[in-house]
Amino acid sequence: MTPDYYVSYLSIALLGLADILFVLALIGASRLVQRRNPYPQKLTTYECGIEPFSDSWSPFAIRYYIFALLFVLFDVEAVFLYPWAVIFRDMGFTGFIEMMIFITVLLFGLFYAWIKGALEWV
Amino acid sequence: MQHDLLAIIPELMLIATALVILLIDPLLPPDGRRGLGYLGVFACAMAGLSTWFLRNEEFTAFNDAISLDRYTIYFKALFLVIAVIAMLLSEKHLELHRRLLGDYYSLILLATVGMMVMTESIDIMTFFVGLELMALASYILAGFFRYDELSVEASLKYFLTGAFASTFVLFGLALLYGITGYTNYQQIGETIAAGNVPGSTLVIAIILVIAGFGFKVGAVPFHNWAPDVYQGSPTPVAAFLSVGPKAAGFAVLIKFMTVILGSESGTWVGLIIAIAIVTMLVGATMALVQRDLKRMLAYSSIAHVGYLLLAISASGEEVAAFASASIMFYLAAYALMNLGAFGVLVYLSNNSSFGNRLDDLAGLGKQFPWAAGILTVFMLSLAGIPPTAGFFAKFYLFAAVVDAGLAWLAMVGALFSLVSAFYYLRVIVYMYMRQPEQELERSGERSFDLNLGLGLAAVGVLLLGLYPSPVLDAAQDALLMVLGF
Repeated sequence: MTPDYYVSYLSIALLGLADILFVLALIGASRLVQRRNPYPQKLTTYECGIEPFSDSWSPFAIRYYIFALLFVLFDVEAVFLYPWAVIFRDMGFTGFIEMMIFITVLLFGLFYAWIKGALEWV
Repeated sequence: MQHDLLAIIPELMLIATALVILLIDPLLPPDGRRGLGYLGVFACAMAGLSTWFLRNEEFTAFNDAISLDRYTIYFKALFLVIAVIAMLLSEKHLELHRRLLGDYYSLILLATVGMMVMTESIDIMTFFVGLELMALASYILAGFFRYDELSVEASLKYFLTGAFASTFVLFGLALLYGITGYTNYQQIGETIAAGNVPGSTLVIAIILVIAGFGFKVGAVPFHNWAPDVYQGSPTPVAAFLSVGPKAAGFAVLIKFMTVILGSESGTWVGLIIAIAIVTMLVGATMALVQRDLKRMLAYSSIAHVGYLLLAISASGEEVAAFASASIMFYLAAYALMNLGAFGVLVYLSNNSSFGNRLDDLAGLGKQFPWAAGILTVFMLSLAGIPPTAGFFAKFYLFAAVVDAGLAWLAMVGALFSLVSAFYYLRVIVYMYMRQPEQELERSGERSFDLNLGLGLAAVGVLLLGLYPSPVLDAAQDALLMVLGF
């Protein structure tokens, strides 16, 4: 292939360089013009006006991950349903059947999680 | 439309069974779960039957995403045999560890489907989906004893290195697509052969793909996960992982190296030869010092990967058909003997880690003559001593390498094979010539499944050793029809 193949990446490299310079320039400018007045309260967590009363790094129930996993199930379903909906008329009945099979397989997953007790909050 | 689905009937059967097992497993009482393994074996048998009926078909399906041909059929049959034996070996072990769950069988079936999709795909996207299906299922399988620290560690290590390797493969594939504009193996191969691609990018793509496959099959310097994973994961899972993903990896590697990169063999043959030699060296020498049998088998499987890579390097030559056929035969022999060797470890194990150390084998010949005898067969086969499958496998492999004009390489391979004989024979010495230090206490529980699985593997190893021609002919047939040799 011609050298153009690599030359076409040049614009991306230039853009990257420009980005870095731009950010450095902004930070530098803000350094130059800012006023410095540090006091401890500036370091506290901003909690919509309420005084923070404990460390924000507190442990929370790991059980949430199961809901995150189940969410993926529906997420993937939605990702595939949208393009299907767009060409629903062209796909016709065959497309409908195929999608129903796909959803059935996902339903198997949901039922599995259900029967295994993943939806119970212990 | 019907045509498309026809090509994947075995896969559909396995997927349906996996889903059904998942669904009925939680509804069953704990002791009712024994039947699930048989359901899995039955599904594999049915899938095998449908594969048999499809054996003379040859067509591509799903818009050239997958192809059904003799090559695919050969490997599908091999994967089904691996899955059946692995499932038969599992039940007793799972029960001992109170982890007899249907999920296990579902995961084995899904991993098998992944291996099938990998092998039958002729499109890099479909291949990658198959690879990930297989890999994700095996990560979970490695950590199936989730109350066992070693098992969890194995799972995590396998996941991290495996995911890393997948990105390598994916990046390599993306580059191949980037420089050729195609996702179909044949079209990529033709575009590369036409010489119309930037050479440096192609070299990077080749290196990335080889590195990724190196991780997956456990070739040096990408092998470090293997001993820890095999040692930590449940023994039947280690048996499955040591043969299934490797067979699938090599099935794809043959296709990749001939169909896609066949015209570029000058670029990669040297690299593969170097990897093969280092792999054999590390595998053979590290296995010498292992006292843990699972680790020993892990390094031994690394050494076997080295032999297989020798033949891959020969497949860039004109005798490619013979080299590839010898790899296919070797994979079948290797699958049976390695499953069998791990199977005997399952047979000996109780619910602690007993039976995994070399010293545990002392006096086995007297106490369990059958188990000792069968382990002797597998060890002889792994060492490559006739009349076992391992002998013919190595014989054909080295013959192919010599035919390719790489006689010195075959010599190196034979040399390492000689070294490896030491640690296989040491196992036999321990079983028959050492006295146990204390009175042995093994779980005397008999399991029909386990005996059947071990019996199948042993009979297979001996049959392939005494009468190898049907399988070898099938392998050569497959290559004649498919890769156009």
